[in-house]
Amino acid sequence: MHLKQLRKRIDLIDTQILTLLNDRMEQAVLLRKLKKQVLDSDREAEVLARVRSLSGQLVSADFAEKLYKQIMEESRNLQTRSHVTAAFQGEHGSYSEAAVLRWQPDAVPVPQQSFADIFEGLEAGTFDYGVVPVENSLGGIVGEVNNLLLSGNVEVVRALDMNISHCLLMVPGSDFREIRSVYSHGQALSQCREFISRNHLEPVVYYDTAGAAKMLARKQLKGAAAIAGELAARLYNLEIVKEDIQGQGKSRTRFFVIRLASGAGSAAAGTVEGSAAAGDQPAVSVSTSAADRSGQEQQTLQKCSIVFATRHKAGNLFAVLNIFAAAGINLTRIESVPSDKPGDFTFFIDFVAEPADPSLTSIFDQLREHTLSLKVLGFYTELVC
Amino acid sequence: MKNLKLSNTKAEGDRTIIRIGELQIGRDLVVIAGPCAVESEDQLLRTAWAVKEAGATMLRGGAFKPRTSPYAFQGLGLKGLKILDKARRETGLPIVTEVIDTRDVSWVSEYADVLQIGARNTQNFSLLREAGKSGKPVLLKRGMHGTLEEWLNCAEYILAEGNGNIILCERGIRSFETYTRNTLDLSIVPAAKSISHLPVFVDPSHGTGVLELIEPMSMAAIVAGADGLEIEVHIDPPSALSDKDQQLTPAAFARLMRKIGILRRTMDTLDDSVQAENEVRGLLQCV
Repeated sequence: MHLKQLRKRIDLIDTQILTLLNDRMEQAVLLRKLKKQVLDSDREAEVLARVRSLSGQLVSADFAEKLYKQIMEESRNLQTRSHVTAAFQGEHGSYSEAAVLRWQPDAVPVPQQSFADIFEGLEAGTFDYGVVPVENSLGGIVGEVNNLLLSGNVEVVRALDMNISHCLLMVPGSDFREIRSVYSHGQALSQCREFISRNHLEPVVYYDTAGAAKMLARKQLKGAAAIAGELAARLYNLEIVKEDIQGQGKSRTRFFVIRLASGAGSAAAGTVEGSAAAGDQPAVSVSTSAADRSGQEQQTLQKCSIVFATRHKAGNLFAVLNIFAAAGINLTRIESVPSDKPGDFTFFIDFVAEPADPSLTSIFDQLREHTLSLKVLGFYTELVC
Repeated sequence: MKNLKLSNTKAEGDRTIIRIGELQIGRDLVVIAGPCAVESEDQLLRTAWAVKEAGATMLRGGAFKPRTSPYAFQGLGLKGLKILDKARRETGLPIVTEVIDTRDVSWVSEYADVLQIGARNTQNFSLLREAGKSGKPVLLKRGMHGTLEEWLNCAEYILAEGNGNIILCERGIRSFETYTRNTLDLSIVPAAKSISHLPVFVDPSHGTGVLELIEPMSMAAIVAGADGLEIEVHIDPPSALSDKDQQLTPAAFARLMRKIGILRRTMDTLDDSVQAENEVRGLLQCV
């Protein structure tokens, strides 16, 4: 029994070591964009000296150096290859990360604390893409992202309308009948409230769904569960007690894949070396073929997203909508966002449009006439998955 | 039976119909088939497809097994429930599975369409109350030495919690006979149906425990007016981890299904046939 317990602890530590190593490699990949060449001998010497000084009784200085030489060699290997990096908000294992991998299985997902960090990172050229949720079928719009899309210098290159399956996760081997409390993001808890009350569980609000799964795994909490996605279960080695525990309604989240607007990258161009512009086209085509490979049933739509403001006058919004109605164009989303000035609104509109459609020129001309400002967020393919 | 308040028939033609998806239990002929216990994903899924092919309308399979000996296979537990869930998603057959512990009721309800209360637990009153609270349809077996009155009182425990979706299931009682595992009491079927509005099923697998007797007793149950049957079927009975002597092969089950299908249609038209014959006789007498 004792041997078993110690071995279990060792497995747990190994999981943590590997998670941290992955985080370190992630930083190395991001760093590549900022340095001129892969090998930086001074920095490597500095790291080695540092780990030697940190070594303890069991981990000798020689062993630490040997280990880190190997780790840095692997870092350099990774840096010589080209990667498509995509930032998402939340911890590893979040639904946004699942969206990144759904869009492009070869991309390197980079976790960020806030949505603002993603937009800042794109403008600074730290990563190539960002994947952000814009609306959920049960939870409504993600207001913060809408505001950032308004002010940010980004364009939409892809959209994913993804089915969200909330899973109840627990530490493997624990008794599901002893689960009393369940940790997750407030929105996930509210979407699963019927399940939670049916089973007499106590909901505990946590900052993130995947964060709750990570905490559960790290603390090896018994008598508790987390609600997160299947990816979180896999990453943190948790057991899925039950899939699809959300209520009657299907939970679907729509994600935008965004990048720095082309032609607007001049500020960051010095450091990015045009990676956003150069890396993108092939990247998108890779994702298409990956989607084809997976052989899953997929439905796609060609769409366009715009943002505009109208004068606060009777009939102005109607005049804009009438342009689409007259052209027989199907609107798929309309959203109003209040601005700083009371009474003034900015509107988001998504509509079905082929970018090659010749009638679009006249539609955009008419739109300009009837709006104070007009911004095209992008033409993109939307994947329903 | 003066103690009955909710399970007894109040008016003629007053019968409980339980709807699960498109199934109407109490109206349609319902056949629950599947292995005694869920042993593996492969075993359950193959059995599920085979019984569906043969015409079964619901799938059974135990995840928690009440075994005579604590050393016998106790079931796969949660893993078994997940396999049942998968079988439902793939075949579309609603799931019937046994619950043996009050702590399991809410969890088993998450996976099952019908909770089964086994013969050994029919008088476990806290389990009955808990099953009542779950709101799920309950298949209530008859205790192995339970009288009709005791059995209906067990149903009252579930009804008293506001859950009227109960299926009574006769599974044989203890008698002096040792050739059969239990003595299947088919007389209880019309008796229960005359006193109670609840649908009555018959389980000939446990009721006889003898392979050759399952088909004839299934047919007898239909003739006695049973609303459905629960039959154990295993994809490979000799390899079964429990009840290997009373689980039918899919082929034997398919043959049984064809026979009871015809029998049920005949039973449905029996009253009409009798009336037609009476008319003919009447005419002949006039002549």
